[in-house]
Amino acid sequence: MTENDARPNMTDPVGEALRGLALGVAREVAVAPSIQLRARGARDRRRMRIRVPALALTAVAAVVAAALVIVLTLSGGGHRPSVTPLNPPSAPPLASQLSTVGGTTFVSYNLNQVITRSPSMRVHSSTVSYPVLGANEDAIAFGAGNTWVLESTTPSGGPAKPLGGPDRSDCGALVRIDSSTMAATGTLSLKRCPLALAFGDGSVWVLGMQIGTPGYRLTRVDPANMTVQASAVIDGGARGGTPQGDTGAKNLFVATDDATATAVVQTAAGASQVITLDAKTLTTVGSVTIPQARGQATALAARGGVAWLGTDAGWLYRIDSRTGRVAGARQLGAWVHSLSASRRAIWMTIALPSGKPASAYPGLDTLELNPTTGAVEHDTGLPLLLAATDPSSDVWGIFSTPRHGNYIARIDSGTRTVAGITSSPSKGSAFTPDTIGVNDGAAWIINTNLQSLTKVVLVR
Amino acid sequence: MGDAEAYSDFYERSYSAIVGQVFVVTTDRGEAEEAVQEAFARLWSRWSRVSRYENPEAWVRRVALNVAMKRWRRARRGDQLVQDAHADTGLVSEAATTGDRLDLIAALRRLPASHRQALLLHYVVGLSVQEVAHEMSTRLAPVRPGTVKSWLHRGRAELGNALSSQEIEDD
Repeated sequence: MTENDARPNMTDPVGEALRGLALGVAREVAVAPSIQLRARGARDRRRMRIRVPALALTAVAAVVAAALVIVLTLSGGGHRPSVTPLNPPSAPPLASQLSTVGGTTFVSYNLNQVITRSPSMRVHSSTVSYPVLGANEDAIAFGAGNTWVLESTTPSGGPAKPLGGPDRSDCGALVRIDSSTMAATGTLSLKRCPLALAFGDGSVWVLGMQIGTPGYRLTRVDPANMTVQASAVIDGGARGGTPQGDTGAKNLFVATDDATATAVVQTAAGASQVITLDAKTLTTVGSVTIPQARGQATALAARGGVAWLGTDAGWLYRIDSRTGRVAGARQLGAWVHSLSASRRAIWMTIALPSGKPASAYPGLDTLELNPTTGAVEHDTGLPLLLAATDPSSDVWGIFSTPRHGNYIARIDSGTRTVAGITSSPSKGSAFTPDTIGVNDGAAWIINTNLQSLTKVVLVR
Repeated sequence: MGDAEAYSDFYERSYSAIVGQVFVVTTDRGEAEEAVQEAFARLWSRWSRVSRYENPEAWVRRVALNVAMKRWRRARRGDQLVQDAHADTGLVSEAATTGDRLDLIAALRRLPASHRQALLLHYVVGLSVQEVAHEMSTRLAPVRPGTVKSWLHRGRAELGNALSSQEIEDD
């Protein structure tokens, strides 16, 4: 045996390290059903069968066309024939990772591939700067021709100046923004720190709290003259003992639907409590406390007599708005990042336990749920961080990756694929947008780190 | 066993292992998975022939490596996707998150693709130098055993340095 025929030394540390690396990767690879690859192989073969004669025909046609051009040019007339390019070969499918949670298997596409392969879209974006609050998805609302946001009027040290008037003793303000011009057309200062808002039943609804003051206050505001129509202190237990800074702001929500308002607050023990109120009288219709083992509230949406609540343990709750009682619950993923309701569907973004931060597979997925039952109608595989929709089913979302930065994407709600993508004004994971809302063909993005509100409109 | 069943059985048995092997060359799991999926898709239309080969897995690996190399060359001509993927340690697989693995991958990335491929075929797949040369040769560019030995020597030295520096740090 010559030296060239020798097999590798199996005790060589370099060889051992390489084999360990290959084995480690192999262990974590999910095997997708082979039927997809067989279908793809068969499709490629059919394409080849069509393409080879098509190329030959194209070549013959090109020769004939060239000859024709020469003849016509020499004879002094005619025009250049137009050449239709062959369709480019379709791109290979996106690499994906499978994760199973609670008996359901989710697909999550390679984030970098989704971003680099998505078509870019032409948008017009405008940004205004002030200390806008964006604790969660419910930090923006639309109604009465305006966009509604909250701002902090306490000194933040940031560069942006608040719009909320001279009374700096108040904790925050509700701000009315003209949806067309983005100009602030009104503010209402609020003593209890406003943390969540919604628009429904012709009014703006603001949920607020104050450290050291028991209970939460739900305030109903007239959108035309910015005055308080009604308010009620709702349960949640005494928050007086809450340490400074630990407000649980990101876990507070309000949503409205038909004749009810749903507020999510925290009990004294720190559990999420869902309180359903009659919109006219502000009396409590029903109240449920989410078991702490099922996590804290991280998202809320309401439509069609149902309030949908997501938690940081991946649970999705269906709450009957007429009774305020739990109508169903199931685990979808490891964390619910956002919930948004259109007339046709509930859009939900989740985190999966297999995800690794700052990687091609951050473990994010976007689901389209049945608006009545909550069943997963489509697992899009899109690794969106946040998704938002409006009653017309216009769906937008945010992709965030340390390598590529932040992107705003418009989702084709028919094909559940990315219709267009544009880079967000904010770069870097530290500046990932906090809130996205959709209204009348525009996406609105709140970035609390940048103290900015951005409106993105598709240029058609 | 029908063709579809035999194909599925082979796919399920070998897919993960081949992805792991191709990863040694791409150093990116997404790229490795794409290349191997493409190879398996091509395999289906040739299954009746390739399934009779002594080692169909070698055929899939070779096609996957060709696909990966083609994509890598395209990337060098300006396709941002793969360039970004290679530059981004975030794309390193879960198996590569420990310090020594990251060092190993960083060292692999410093090597030319041909060196990585030779290291894979010799140390992971277990081919002899002669077989590696045969496997990597094309009609237009034959590879001699002496060249493979040189690639293995340089590759081994680079990876050896990365591993030994890790041992020193660990101490």
